[in-house]
Amino acid sequence: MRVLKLVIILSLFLIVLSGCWDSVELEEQFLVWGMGWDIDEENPNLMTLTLSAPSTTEGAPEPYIAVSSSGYSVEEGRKNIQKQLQYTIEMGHLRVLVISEDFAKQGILKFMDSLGRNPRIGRETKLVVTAGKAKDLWDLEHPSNLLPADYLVELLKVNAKQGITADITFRDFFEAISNEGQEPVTSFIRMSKDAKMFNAAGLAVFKEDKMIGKLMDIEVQAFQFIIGKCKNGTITVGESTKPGSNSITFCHRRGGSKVKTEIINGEPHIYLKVELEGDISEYTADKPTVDEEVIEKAETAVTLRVKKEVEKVIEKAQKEFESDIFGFGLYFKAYHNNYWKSHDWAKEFPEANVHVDVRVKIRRIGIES
Amino acid sequence: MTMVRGKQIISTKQLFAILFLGLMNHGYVSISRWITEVAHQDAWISTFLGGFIAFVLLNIILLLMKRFPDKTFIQISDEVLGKYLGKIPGIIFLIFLLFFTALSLYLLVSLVSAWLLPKTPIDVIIISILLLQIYLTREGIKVLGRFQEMIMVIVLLGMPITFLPYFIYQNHTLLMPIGGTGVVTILKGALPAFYTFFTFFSLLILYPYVRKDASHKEIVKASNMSILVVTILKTFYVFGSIAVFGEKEIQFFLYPLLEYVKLLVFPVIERVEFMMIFLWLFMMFSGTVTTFYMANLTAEQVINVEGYKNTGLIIAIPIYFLTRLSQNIAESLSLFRLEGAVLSIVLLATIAFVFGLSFILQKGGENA
Repeated sequence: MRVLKLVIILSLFLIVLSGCWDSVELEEQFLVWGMGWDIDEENPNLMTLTLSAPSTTEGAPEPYIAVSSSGYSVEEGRKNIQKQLQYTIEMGHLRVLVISEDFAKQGILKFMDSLGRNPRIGRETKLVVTAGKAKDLWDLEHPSNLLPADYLVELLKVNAKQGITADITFRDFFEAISNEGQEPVTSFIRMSKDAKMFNAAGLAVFKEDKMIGKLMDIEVQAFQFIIGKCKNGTITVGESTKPGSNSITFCHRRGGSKVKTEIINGEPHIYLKVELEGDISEYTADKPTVDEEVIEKAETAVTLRVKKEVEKVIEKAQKEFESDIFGFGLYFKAYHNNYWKSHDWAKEFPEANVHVDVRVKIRRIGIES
Repeated sequence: MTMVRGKQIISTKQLFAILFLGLMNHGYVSISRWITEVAHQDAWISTFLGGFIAFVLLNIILLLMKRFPDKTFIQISDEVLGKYLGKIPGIIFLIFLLFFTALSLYLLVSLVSAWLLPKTPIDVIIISILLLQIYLTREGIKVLGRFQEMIMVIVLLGMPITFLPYFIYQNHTLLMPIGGTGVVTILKGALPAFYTFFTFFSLLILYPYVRKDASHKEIVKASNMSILVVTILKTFYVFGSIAVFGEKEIQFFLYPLLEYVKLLVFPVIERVEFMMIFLWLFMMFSGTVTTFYMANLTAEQVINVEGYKNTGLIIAIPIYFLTRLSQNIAESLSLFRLEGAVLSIVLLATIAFVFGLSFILQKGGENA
């Protein structure tokens, strides 16, 4: 009797704990790696959603599948894509969301809701704005990587490590948009003319959830100097291609920034200190001997260049974008709370006084002197 | 008057484990949201204060229980108030435990349902967990103590991982200005924080089972240590999650703890939070088992059938229906606040009344 009871109880557990309701075979899943958002070409009130996934069927003719459909929301678009698929759409492996520039200009936050609500989607998913259509990205034929989503993610990662771009994730975006005193940015890419490569040297600038402009090339680097995240990268001073001119390239390996704030006569003052340490990786003078004098001159030249670029980017954010993408407002909220409560930072930021101090130290000069 | 059964003894280590897991369980997954809703960036101070209030009350309970070293609260109220009136505090305590277990169970089930088994009917998950609870509590507190001791080791081993996101992503400006929300707001926040420490009431039932094997001093040490460790862990976690997300972003999360560990990226392991969920499941399950067992024992002692092995089966029925009261997690959060406010006042008043009367009637202690 006792054994019978045990068998019955264990059999009951077998039924309820096998997880049969939730099991889905890998081959039956459409494992979304990349997602694209565009304004619909026929009806501008609709969004076009594109989902890209690697083929899970053995012997499939293409290494990946990209399917598009339209809807009034991400979930509706997903449902319409599902109509075309024999697989179950699985979002748990989403690696990158690409939004077209036109779409980003209209505001993206309400469309992000379903991605934040879905527990399976990771917060380290990359967020990118692209020039042109997001739909076209998935047709890219890169010679060394068959999967466009994978290529894009790796491209962002590698270039971010070198300070060329910033790989912005859902986490960064949600954090910036929810914190008072900071506006979000995302990575910005553009496809090459032959549609075989992406160029990842940009950032899309937002005000609240609408894209309002972009930072390109050295501006991206300067932005990262300001927020203290540019640990690696290079800066070239001078134009060695011009006859009689030479250039020096500074490769920074350590860096950071400090922000202090003050209210003087009722006006906000921001004291930004950028510190960089690194090596000389190129010196194109006729006599490329690097001595103390050259090092000193190089430090001064790089300091001036970095300061100039940093000031230019801050001015651009203040005057052109009127968007505090650096998060200076966070410091006023934290350390000058009375000022913060009595002022609208969005209106104060363009007029804030920013004092930039740059320190550059050259530590190594390579193996030639 | 019956005393606790001789065979049913737990060690102070097991008491520590039961209290630790019980205190950690209630609300740990969502605590930073619940408290930042009220106390904003100062929620971590409120959490600490909530723990401190619980610490003070726990020590008062310990002092009171010292007067009746071999009796549970139910047996004490029987002795103080008499055979029939003495049942009323027991029934109030039982109602509290039923609601408490049901709510903890719902939080556990909603987590399993949202993250792990979205297609499995919620009733199946509830019934499976209840069956396991019935099985675990059938043999009494000794088995429960051993189980909790084992789970505590697993939870403590996994705990350091939850601190990592703070060290990687912290931004201290998000915690500023410290104390900026004002004393009143911080104190208001201490109330929901205190609710998350509610399981210290377990001592009203557990005390005599430990006292058989340990001195009062040892029990005080183990209990205080458990509440101290949990207060530090909860305070640090709330502090860390505000420093990582900021109080505004936390408001978007139902389970901030899981969003917090989701930030971790390890090579090879793609979804760290799924590993962490199993850790929380152990912890949450252990917490609900304790209150489930206490509800069993309370019911048995109220109707004087202590030792009856099938109480769990009967108790599981109201718990199942109470668990189904919450239709969604938002409702359960409202219930959490309501339960915390109403039941804590009623329960505290009942405890104060019973012990107050024992002093007036000079029962217990040296007069016992």
